[in-house]
Amino acid sequence: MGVLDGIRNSALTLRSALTANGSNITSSTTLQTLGLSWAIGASATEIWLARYVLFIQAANTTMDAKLGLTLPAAATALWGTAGGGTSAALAGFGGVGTATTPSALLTGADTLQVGTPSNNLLGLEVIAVIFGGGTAGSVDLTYAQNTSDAGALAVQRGSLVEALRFNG
Amino acid sequence: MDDQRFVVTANFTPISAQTTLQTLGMPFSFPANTHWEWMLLLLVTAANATMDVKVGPVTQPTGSTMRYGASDRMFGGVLLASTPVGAIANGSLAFGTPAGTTGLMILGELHGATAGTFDLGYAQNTSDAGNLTVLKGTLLRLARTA
Repeated sequence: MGVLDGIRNSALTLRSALTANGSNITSSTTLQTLGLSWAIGASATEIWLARYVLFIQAANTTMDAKLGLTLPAAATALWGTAGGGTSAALAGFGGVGTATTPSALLTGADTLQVGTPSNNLLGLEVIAVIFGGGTAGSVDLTYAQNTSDAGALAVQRGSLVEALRFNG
Repeated sequence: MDDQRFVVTANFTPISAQTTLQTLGMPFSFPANTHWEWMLLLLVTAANATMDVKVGPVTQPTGSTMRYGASDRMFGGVLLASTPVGAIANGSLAFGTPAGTTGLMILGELHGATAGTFDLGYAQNTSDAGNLTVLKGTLLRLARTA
């Protein structure tokens, strides 16, 4: 079944946090780098778990937020929110009970849409399993307004990522 | 080591019409008189939404106690008016599946006085002729807490 035990040589943990609020995004649905980047190696056998805790400030409920992933060439991912739901827009690890039908997980090229509160903070946990494709490079989360709006959207100080290498 | 990590590096052979727990192949050597928290991130592809998936211990150290559940189930007190579902002690727990690829985030704790093997398993919750496949990237992390 190809299962590794213990991963003594791969138990690398990387952590990064925003120490200042991110730039405001206004009237833009173009994904921008969040600044919580970390690097995977050139091994095609690398498997990482990334846990993002995000604090998102939005001026209104109209814009909503959109998240994406940037990956090195040939790397792939399965990802979503920690709780998740049954909609494709807010996919996640959401199979709570048999009465629920969780959504499909997102892949590397997909985006995640998140509703925003008005002029208040939204907390969100995003989980990603990332598979190296043989090319070293940076992994980062990207964000934008989901609907272009003149109000400001920003990811706040304290947002963080913890990346754990499980293989490779 | 107080940080144990296991990962599936190749997709499993699909199972069908199978409700008996099958090992996930990530046996953990539990030391005596310790406490651990654990997280299982289970990635599966299900042929349909009927079968659902069941998770539970295939092997558990003698006399040990475990509580676990879906992340929403363990930390489900969203609103004052809500009543979270209790955590599961030992036994197996079933989760919904879509027709497609999805992920389950399961949190748990394990403690006991006797050393032994802790091995989680999976199965269809409802026997179905369709395939249920555990995917590469399914992972288990255990962190010792005491």
